[in-house]
Amino acid sequence: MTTQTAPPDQRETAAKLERAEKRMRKRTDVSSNWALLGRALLRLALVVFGVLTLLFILLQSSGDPSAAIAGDDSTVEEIERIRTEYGFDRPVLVQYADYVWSALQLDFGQSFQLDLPAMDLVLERLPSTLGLILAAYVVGIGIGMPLGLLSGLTDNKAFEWVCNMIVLAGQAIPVFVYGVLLVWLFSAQMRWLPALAPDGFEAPPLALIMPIMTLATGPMAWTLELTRSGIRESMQEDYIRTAESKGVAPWRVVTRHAVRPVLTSLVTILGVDLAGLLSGGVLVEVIFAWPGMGPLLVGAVNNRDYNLVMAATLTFAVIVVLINFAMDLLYRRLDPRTRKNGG
Amino acid sequence: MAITPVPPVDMSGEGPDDDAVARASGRTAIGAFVRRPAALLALAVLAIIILGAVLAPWLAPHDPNTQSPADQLQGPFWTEGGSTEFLLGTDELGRDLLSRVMFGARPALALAFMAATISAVVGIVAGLVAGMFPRRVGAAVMWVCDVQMAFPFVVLALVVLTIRGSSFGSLLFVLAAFGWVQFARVVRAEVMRVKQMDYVLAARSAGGTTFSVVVRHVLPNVITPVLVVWTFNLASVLLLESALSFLGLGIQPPDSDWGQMFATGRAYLLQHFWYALFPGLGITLTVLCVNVLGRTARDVLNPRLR
Repeated sequence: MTTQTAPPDQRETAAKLERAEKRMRKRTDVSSNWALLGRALLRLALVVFGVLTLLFILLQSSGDPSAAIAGDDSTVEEIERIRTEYGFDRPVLVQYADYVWSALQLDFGQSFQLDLPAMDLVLERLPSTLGLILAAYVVGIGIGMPLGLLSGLTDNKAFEWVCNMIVLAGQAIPVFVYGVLLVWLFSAQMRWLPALAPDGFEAPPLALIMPIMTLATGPMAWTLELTRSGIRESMQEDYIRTAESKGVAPWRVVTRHAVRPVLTSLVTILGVDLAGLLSGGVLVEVIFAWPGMGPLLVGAVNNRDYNLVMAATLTFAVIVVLINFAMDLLYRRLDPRTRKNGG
Repeated sequence: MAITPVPPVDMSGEGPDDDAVARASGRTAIGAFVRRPAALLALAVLAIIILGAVLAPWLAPHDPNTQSPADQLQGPFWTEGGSTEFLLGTDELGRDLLSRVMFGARPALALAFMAATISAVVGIVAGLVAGMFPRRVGAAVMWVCDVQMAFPFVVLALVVLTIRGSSFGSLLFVLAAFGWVQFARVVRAEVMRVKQMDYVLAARSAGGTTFSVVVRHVLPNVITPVLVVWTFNLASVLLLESALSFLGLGIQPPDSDWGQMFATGRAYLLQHFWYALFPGLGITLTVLCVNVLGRTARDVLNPRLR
C-alpha cells in the first residue's frame, strides 16, 4: 500500500488545486455584483461619517459659540444660560456622539438666526439649487457635446479655432466675472433680460437664461474638450475600421461605436466636477439672488448660525457623495470592461 | 489545469528609444516648448503681470490707498474726463485704479503660488506613502481624499474662514487644503505603476530600504506629472482666491485684491464699468496664461505628443 502513495498524492494535489481555483472563482464572482455594491455602500457610509467628523472638528476648533449666539451686549449669566441650554458645557465626546446621533436623524436643531428647524430651511431651498445645477449640466452638455463631435469629426480650421476659444474662455474666466459681464451686456446695455432671478424657477423663463448660462459655461468647456479629443482618439481604433469596412453607415459608426468610450469618460468627469459646479452655483446664486442654498449658506456663515451651516454643508456633501455613487454605478453599466463577470 | 503560464510582459515601453530620437533631432522638452508661439506669448504676458505685481511699490504711479475725493470715478486717460494723472481712472474714493490693480495682484499671486506649492509638497508625501503602503495607510489617505472631495470647495472655505477669521494665513490654509488631494492621487497612481518596474524591483532586491528606493527611484518619475498638476492647480487656486475675495472673505479693505475690487466695481457697473473691467481682466488674463502654460507643459513633457 505504501508504494502506491504517489498517484493518490498527485490526485490529492490536483483536487486541492481545483478546489482552490473554485474558491478563487467564487470570490471573483461574488465581487462582481453584490460585494461590489456592498463595498461602494460601505465607502459611501465612511465618507459621510468622515464629512460629519471633519465638520465637527472644524466647528469645535472655533471655540465656544455661546457668546456669539447671545449677542454682543449680553451678560455673563445669559451666556452661561445659553451654554447649558445648547449643551456646549458637556464633554467634547458626549457632544460628538450626540451630534452624530442627531445628524443621522437629520435633526440639526434650530437655526439660531431664523428660529426654525435648520434642516427644514435647507430642504426648502434644496430643489431650486439642484434644479439650477441640473439645468446647467443639461445646457452645458447639450451645447458642448455636439460642438465637440462636430469639431472632432471635421477639420475646419475656423470652427476649431472657435471651439478652442470656448474651451479656453470657459476655463479662464471666473464664473462671477462671466455672470456680471452677461448682466452688464444683456440687462444694462440691451435691456433684454432681467438682472436678477429672485423667484427661481417660478420667475418668467427669460430671467432663467442668464443664471443657467453662467453656470453652464464650465461644463460646456470641458464637455467640448473631452468629446473632441475622445472622438478623435476612438475614430482611430481598430473596431471603427472594422465597422467601416463592414459597410456600417458613417453616422451609425459614430453613434453606435465611436461615442461609447466618450460617454464613459464624460460620466466620470461629471461626478468629479459636481463639487466644483456646486461651488460655482453658490456664486451664481449670490450674483442673481437665486433662492437656493448659496445665499442661505453665505448668510448663515456671516451670522455664525452654526446649526444652519452644519445642515447646509452636510447636505451639499451628501449630494456630492450620492451622485458620485450613482455615477460609479452608471459607469459600470456603460463600460463593459468594468463588469467583472468572471470571464 | 489551474496554473497557466504567464506570458512574458514587455516592460520596455517606449521610453529609452523615444528619448534617443528626441535628443538626436534636438526635440527636447524645452525645444518643443520654444516652438509654440502661444506658450511663449503666455509666458511673456505672465512675466509682465508678475513683474508688475512684484515691483508695484516702485512702479505704481500712486499709493493704492490714497484717496482724492475730487477725482472720483474718473475714466481711463483715453476717455472723456480722464487724465494722464490716473492712467486707468479712479474708483469711488478717488484712488488710482492702475495702482490698485497692480497692488491687488500681489495677494492673489502670492497666495496662489504658495498654496499650490504647499499642496504639492503635502500631496507628494501623502501620495508616496499611500502608494508604497497601499493596504492600511493608502486606504486611510484615500478615505481622507474622498471625504474632502465630497465638500464643494467654496462651502468648505466659507466654513473655515468664518471660524478662523479672514487673514492671509487662514486663506493660505484653505487654498492649500483644496489642492493636495489631486497631487496625492496622481502621485499615488504613478507610484503604483512605477513600483512594479524592473529597475525598482532591482533596487529593492539589491537591498535598498523603502525610503532610499522611494527617494532615488520613484520620486524622479513623479516629478513630471506633478509639474503639470502644479500648473493647473495654480490656475484653479487663482480662480478660487478671487471667488472668495469676491464673496468678501478674502483680503479685507482697504488693501486691494482683484476679486474684492471686482465685487465693489460691480456696484458701479452702469456709470463706470472700467472699475470692474480691469480687475476682472487681470484675473482672466492671468488664469488664461497659466492654463495655456499648463496645457503646453502637459503636451511637451509627454514625448509621444511632442
